[in-house]
Amino acid sequence: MILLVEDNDNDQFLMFRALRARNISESDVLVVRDGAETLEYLRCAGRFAERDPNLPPSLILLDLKIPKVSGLELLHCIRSDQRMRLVPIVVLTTSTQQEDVVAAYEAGCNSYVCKAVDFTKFVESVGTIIDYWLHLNTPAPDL
Amino acid sequence: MQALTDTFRNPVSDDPLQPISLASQQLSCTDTPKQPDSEKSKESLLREVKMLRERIAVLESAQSMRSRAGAAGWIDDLFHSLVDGVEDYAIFMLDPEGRVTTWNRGAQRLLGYTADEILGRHFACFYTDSDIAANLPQEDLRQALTDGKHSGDLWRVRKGGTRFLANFVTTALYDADGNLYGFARVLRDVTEQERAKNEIARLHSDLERRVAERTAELTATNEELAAFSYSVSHDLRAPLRAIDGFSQAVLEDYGLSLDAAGAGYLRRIRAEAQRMGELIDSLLDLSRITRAELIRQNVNLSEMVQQVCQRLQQNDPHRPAEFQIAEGVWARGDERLLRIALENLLENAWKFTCLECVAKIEFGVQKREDDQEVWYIKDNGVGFDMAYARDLFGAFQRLHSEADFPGTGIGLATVQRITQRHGGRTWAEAAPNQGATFFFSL
Repeated sequence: MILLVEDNDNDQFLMFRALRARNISESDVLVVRDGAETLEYLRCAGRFAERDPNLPPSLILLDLKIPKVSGLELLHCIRSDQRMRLVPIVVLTTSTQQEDVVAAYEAGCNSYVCKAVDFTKFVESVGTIIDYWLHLNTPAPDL
Repeated sequence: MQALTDTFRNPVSDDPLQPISLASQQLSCTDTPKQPDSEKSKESLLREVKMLRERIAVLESAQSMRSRAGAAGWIDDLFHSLVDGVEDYAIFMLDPEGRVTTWNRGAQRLLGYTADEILGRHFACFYTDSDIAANLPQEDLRQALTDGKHSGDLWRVRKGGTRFLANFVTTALYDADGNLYGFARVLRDVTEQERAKNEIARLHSDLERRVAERTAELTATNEELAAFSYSVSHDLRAPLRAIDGFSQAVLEDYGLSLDAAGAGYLRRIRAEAQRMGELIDSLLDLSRITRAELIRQNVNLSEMVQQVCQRLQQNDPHRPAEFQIAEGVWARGDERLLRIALENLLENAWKFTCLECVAKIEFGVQKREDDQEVWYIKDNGVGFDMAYARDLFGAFQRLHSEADFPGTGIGLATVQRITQRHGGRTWAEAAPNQGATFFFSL
């Protein structure tokens, strides 16, 4: 299961289309729309009260600019969560600001990818992310 | 010379001669030999001779002193005439109690009193009332006595009451026996100097304040620009991606329902959205260049140009091109920014020579009359009319149509921004269909 942290409906739609090109359906993706909801997910609270904390997502796709709690703060929270700290996190954002790139890596992301305006390129980059992190990469074993 | 002449004119009137006269009188009156007491008169005579010799020694000594005094008097006169001629400095002497005993022309000019008016008066009249109340005149003399010399800056009062800031030196004077003879005072008017110093300090502080204000304004502007860039980066690209993505979604999902024109329109929408994305990226790059920290070092431009040209040729290997790159050309500047500038200039040269049979691109350096180095990149491309060169370096300014030569119109603005940040500039010489040469200084 992929956790997609994305507040923009259009970007969600485009992301689903891009994932579909890699045979990943919407049911394989859990969408959280802001930082507060992401924290609820991490803490198995609110609408995620029933979530099994021992089943972390296989990949987190994180936008940096999201409402309530920033993507950078979420990165810190996720990395300090015992059961989530080894989950691969790919920051997918529009920002090409060097400060953001550095801060994201410092906060513990595994990869930083800029969302291209050109949808064809966007689909290609999402495909590369999926190929690499879900197929080529060896994830850390459950501890 | 007066003192010397006087000394020789009346030698007998001087005190050292008096005892000789008296001795002679004594010899003639009291020591006349009396018979028959010859032994006594012999002793008396010997005593007189001895006394006479002593008197002669005293006389010789006195004459020697007088001779030296004569020379000293001549030096005194010369010294007095020199001191009196000084107009920019008030030089005068005080007796041990502080009364004025000599007065030069400078003193008269500076303090307003003639010699007749001031000689014999106490020097406290040059002090302000508050300084007198604080006992400063006595304190000045006391310090000169303690330290041998006392100096400083103080407000002084002229005849008539006007004030001036004086730089003064008071020196205690002693005679040969170590007795206090008086004080020498030298004063200089430093009011104008002080005023100029204060004015400079005021201007300096004013300048510092304005620099601080401008720096604060610039910092605020830079922060605003950074925030703007951030906002552009995040917020303007997202809708463009949606325009492009949804257009593609329509093409993919409803392509069969569209005729060729409808599909063409959607492709145009996509092309324009992507172009706007590129413009935004270029603007962000330009803003980054403006804000980037400048790290100056020696940069091998020849090597850099070589690398860029190689890349251009590799990307388009079948295009015939000749590169003429001067070797060993260095510049002092920021390596990263200079690379961006050269990339822009060379990419332009490459682009605008695409219609030539053989593209010719040249890089070199010239030394101007003022010894300043000017680097250039010359091509044999389409060139341009210099009449339109005025706006060449403005952002989004283009001299050729997008259809003929694609581009964002930000490249030369970037080059100009980079050279300006180095303290230099960029300019061009060109003619239509005769190529262009872009020069830059750093």
